[in-house]
Amino acid sequence: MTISSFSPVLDPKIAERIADAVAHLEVPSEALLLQAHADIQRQIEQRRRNVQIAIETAQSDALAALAHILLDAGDLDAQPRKNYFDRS
Amino acid sequence: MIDQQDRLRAETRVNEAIKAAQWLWFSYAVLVLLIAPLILVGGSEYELLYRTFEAISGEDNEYWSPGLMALTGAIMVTAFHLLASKSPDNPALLLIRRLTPWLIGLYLVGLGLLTAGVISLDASGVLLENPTSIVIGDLPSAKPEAHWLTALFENITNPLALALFSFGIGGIAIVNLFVAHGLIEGIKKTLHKIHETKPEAKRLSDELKTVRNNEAQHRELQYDLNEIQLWFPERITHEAALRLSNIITEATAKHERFINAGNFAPESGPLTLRDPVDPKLIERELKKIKALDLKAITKILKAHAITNED
Repeated sequence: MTISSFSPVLDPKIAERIADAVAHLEVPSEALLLQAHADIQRQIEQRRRNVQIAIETAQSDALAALAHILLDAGDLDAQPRKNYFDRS
Repeated sequence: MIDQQDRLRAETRVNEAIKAAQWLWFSYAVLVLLIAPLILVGGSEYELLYRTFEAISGEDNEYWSPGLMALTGAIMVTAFHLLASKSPDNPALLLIRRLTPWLIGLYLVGLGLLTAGVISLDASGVLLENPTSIVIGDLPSAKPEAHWLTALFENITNPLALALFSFGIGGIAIVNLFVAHGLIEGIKKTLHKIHETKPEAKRLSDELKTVRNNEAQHRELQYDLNEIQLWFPERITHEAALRLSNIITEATAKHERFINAGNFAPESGPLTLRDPVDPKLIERELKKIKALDLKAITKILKAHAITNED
């Protein structure tokens, strides 16, 4: 899922209220229009935050996996070491 | 996102792990090569003790049987190994470790002198005359010739060889403990490696996959973040206004269709054909609504945005 396919949508409830107002031959109120605008702004901001969190999660997961490889790897030498029988 | 050197090191580590898994047969071979001498060492320890206690106990002693006493060798090997594993600095262990090189030297010098003695006897013809004369613990019974070299061997070298070799043989019981411990440690490490290598290689491969997947995801998300940064306020206002304008246009279109078709009321809503109204009234109201076009909506939204900033 990428943001490139993301497009904010008009809240169906607001759209319905606007259409309903027009059906009654009423001019939609400014408050309704501003509410729709604010909702779209909220969607974009929410999306931006989600992506930011996803980026940080991907980064921390990658670093954790890298640390497991570099720090927690066991003794996997294919050949016996020179001090194979060293007990110290 | 990730330091390239760290990434390279991780990839090298994972490749090593995979290679180690591929070389697992080598560990099995090492295991065999460790078990075989351990059996040999255990056998020699058993035999040494058996012979010793056989000589001590005689035939009638049913409690201190040589077989039972020889098994104490196994107990000593195990005890030495456990002691070395749990407390490597134990004085008894240090003593055995320090004695071992000396005992090896003692055995080898004794063996060397004994061999020299045998060869000298053979060379001087004594051995051929009395082939059973070289027995550990016995001095050659043949009378020496007056030659100084024969005298040297019979009076100094051979007794010294027998003494050193006897101590060396006795010391083998101690050296065996040392050797057995080393072999057991090797077997433990090899078994651990056999047990751990494949799962570890798989775990590390999975971790590397996680790194790669997250890197790819990170790149995609970074692209997405750049895309979303393009939603600057003017664009958002324009998009919102466009969507609102579309909704209003669609809604007014229904009224216009009915008016154009000669009807006097819309197909839905409170105004129906049973409640006829003045078409001019409808047109007038529609005109007010249609005045709320894209430009007007944008102006309202922008005005609000300015108000917000204030």
